[in-house]
Amino acid sequence: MGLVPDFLLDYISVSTYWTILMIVHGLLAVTLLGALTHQAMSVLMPVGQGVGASAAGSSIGIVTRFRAVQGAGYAAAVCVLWVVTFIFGAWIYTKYRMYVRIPIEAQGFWKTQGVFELKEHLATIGLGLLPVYWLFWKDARNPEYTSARKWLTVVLAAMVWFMFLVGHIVNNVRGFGSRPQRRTQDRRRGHLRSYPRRRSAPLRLFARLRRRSSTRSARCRTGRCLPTTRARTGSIYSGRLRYETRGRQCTGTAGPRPR
Amino acid sequence: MYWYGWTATTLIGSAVLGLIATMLPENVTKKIPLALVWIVPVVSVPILIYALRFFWRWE
Repeated sequence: MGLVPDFLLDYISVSTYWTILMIVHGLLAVTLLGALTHQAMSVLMPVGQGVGASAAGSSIGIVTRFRAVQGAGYAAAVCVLWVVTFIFGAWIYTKYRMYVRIPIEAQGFWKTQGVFELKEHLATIGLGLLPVYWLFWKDARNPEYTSARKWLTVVLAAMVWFMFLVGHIVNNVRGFGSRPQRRTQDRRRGHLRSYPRRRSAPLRLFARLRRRSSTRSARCRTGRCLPTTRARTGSIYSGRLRYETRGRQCTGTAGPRPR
Repeated sequence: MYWYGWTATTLIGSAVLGLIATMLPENVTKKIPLALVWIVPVVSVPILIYALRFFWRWE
């Protein structure tokens, strides 16, 4: 058994398997993000005792309710979520390394690749910070730890936000919905580009119209159409597509059709 | 796949350093500011960005 358990492949495809792992990784990341954001807000903008006690009431705003949480109650959950999310990330990293990173490099998305490298480093640094983070929150009433606990929580929250956003960006570049590509040689850049970019829908429409128009014009110029042929012309430069199909004579200038 | 090795190396290294830190006498550990716990990761970010300078290019 490798990275994909064999018995699972009797029920789901390999692609579905990795997709499930990716979704679980994302859901865990969302949970971790919420927990750490709550905790960071509670230490950055703590509410008063009275406000915190009545935060469940409807007279308190949503921001106050958001930060009126007991930060110590999140510490264990944050540690567990960070470790589990890290394990899932390390698991799907094998797939990413072969099927995501190589196409990203081949297409020249260097900065996207760079911020993802930074994300990997920060995830590992955060993993190493978890023991002291847990110690600070375990002894939450110790005033000696107050400042370090506060800023360590904020730093971890900032790390999670960065990692979450970078993960989204990489998923947008080469994640769900990426169609299978064929290998082509990118002659312009002089290196093998395995996954050519697909043009956007308006560009594809424009290319199709231009191809159709040029084909029809060439046909008329060579005189291969009858004088009574009705022509259809289209222009996207005028802001809307024009179709002229009635009473239009062939505009070919090559003379009558050769017999 | 060097990231796995990087991760394992840092975890082992930090565990060894942590064990050594527990053996330090209390009068020494009291002098180490706790703020280093979050300052060191923050300071390491620009160093990491510099180490990853290969990726910050426009071509």
